[in-house]
Amino acid sequence: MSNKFLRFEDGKISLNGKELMVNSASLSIAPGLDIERVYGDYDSRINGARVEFVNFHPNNHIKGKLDISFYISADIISVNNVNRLFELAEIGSADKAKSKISEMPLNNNIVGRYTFDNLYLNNFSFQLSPFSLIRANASYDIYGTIKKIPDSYFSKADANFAHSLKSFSDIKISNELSSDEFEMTSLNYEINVERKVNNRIRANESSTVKNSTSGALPFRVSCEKIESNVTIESNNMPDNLNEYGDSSYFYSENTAKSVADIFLYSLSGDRIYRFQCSGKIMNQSLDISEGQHAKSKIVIKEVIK
Amino acid sequence: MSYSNYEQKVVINGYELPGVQSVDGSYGISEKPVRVAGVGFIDAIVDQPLQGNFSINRKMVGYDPLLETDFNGKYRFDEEEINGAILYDDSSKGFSFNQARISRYSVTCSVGEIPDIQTDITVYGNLGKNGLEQTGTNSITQALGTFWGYSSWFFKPQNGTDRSIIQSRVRLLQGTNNSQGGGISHSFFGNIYLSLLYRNLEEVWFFLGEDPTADPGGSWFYTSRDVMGQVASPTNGFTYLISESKALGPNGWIEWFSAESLSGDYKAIFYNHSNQQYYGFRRDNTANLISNQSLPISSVPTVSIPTRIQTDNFLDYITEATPDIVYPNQSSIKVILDDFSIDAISDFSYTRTINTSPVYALPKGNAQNWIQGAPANSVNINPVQIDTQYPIETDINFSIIVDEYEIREIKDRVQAAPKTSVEIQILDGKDQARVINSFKGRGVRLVSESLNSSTDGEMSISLTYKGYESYHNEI
Repeated sequence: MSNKFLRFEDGKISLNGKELMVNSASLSIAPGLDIERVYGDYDSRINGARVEFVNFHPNNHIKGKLDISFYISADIISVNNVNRLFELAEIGSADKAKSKISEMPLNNNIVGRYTFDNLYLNNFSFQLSPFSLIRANASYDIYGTIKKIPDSYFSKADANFAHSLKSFSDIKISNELSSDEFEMTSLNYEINVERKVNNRIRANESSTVKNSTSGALPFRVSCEKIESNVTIESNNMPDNLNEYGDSSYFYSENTAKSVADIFLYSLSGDRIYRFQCSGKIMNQSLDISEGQHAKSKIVIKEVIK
Repeated sequence: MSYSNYEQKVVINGYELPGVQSVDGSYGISEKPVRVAGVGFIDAIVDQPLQGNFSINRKMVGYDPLLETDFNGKYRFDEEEINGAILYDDSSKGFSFNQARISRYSVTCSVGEIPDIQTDITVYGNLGKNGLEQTGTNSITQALGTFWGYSSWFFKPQNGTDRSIIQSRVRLLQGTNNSQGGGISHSFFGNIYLSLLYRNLEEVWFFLGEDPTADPGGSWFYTSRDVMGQVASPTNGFTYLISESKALGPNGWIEWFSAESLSGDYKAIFYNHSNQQYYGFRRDNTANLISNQSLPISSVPTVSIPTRIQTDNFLDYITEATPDIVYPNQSSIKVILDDFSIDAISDFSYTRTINTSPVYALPKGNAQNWIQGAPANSVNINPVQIDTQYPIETDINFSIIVDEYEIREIKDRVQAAPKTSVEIQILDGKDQARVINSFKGRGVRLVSESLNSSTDGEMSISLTYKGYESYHNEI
């Protein structure tokens, strides 16, 4: 008899052995297949060879993707500890607690009835909007296959959630504008890492690899670029934006960067984490539409690596 | 202990409202359940701003102070926030609110009755026993930074209109540590001067009139030291400094900063909405203009000002004289229509519906707050802006006893879509030269007519007019 549909309450999600407060997750996995088509035997009716399909053949690792949306709380991300699950948060912190991302995979991961290894973080983001709970998003690459496990759940009676009522930000635009000039209706922080998959010649040719459903795995998943962005939606758009991404009449080597500091607090007033994005204005826009106030969007980008 | 109906007072914008029949007040906190995969429900967390609602039903027994109009003839409540309280237990307790907007104002009347007024209010600000009590949280000196150096006091009109300054009384004067004293600042809006001065550490006087050099009294009003906080050292009498500041349009605002010393400079910042320009203004105590420069917007600090001073006495909420009690009777209610002469009216209703849109913003703080584990400097728990969504809809309805009236051809009405004006005048029953309240619908269209005939009564026709008011167009 097949299993029933999995209830939300029984679909535990844990990464690297740590249970997370996830409100939505999407797990997908796909092999990379090429289609082999060849010229076949001679066909006298056309006086030539027909093209024939032979088989699929793998051209890459079996690769998956995990996207989760989760609630930030003091026990997942805190001033003293950012779990490896979200190590990009440490890289994006104001004190740059970490300057590079680990190339080691996260193993022992569970999403509902499935477990898998070889998880690599690509993206971490969260959004603040007035009066709302702060929800974060993370996106991971998965290499290798998935395996089924029994249903599992965990207990959590209370949590110290990060909340926009207590969290705040401090914005400085090229030392010209400060937070006083902005009333922000939303703020989005995002940090991305671009990874590169490295394979070693003949490393995957052993019978062990061929007999495993996970098949060939990358020898190394290296970190190529790390960039963070802050997008501010507010009442104000800096003027005199110059070609260097500064809000200034003139360009100067000494023009201060634009800085967005984001301070996450829990609803009970506990400090959770401080993020910072210090860079240039990459884009700004103004939207006016019927029935709404005009709102501007400013995107600040920092290149960390 | 319970409180009888005659023990309660309803106060709106400082007026104790007469003729109140009932008040319903409520507020709600919106929570969102937090559900987590593998756990299920964990907690319910606040997810929306607090919002309250009041509904006040009154009999029209005098001029309604809520119907104050601005210099353009538009109702103040269309754009301005109101505050109020329900006082009980000999006015020693209160249920008060601020940052509220009227969402619906309705008058209904039938023959033989005193008109009923129903007012629906949406509260976006504080609501509760201390709803009107707020203290300033901003340091003006800090906000001004080095550009202005210092400031001893200032105030800012609500909603940036000149009459707001004048009629808002003392919204707030924040005293700092000015070691000197005395002084006066003037500004004029059209032909009207607004003057401020403080005297002997005790009083701050305001003047509204055309001659700011007139002796105090009459048009002057003042507030006490309690409002001022700590201000300067005593000076004898009054001194005047007449400014030649830029005259502002109806939508301009001004902030004044007095001199640090008697020989110091007076400073002001103006903002004119019409050209969206800030003006910096500085002059010495001999009234010589020192500078008059336009400022980049970034130089002008934004400081939020509470709309009400802190008070421990609920009776202080009543700051305005209660309008005279006067009654209309059925012969003192007039309805004037432009497009036809009407037959006998048996009842009418007049309703304005105002949709408002509050804007909430994220809290603002800095690294110092974080290091200290302190909350944000600016918590932004109240809306930073509450705007009216135009058009404001006006619905006017009459029921008339049919005599000569004939229902119009609906196809003609649709094609011509003629506009007309309707005015309802409610006059004093004893003195019909005295208008208690009047309601106008300009540029309204007849949108519905219905006829009712039955064996029980006279044949009647109900007419419904609808009008729309916009923000910038003249009414």
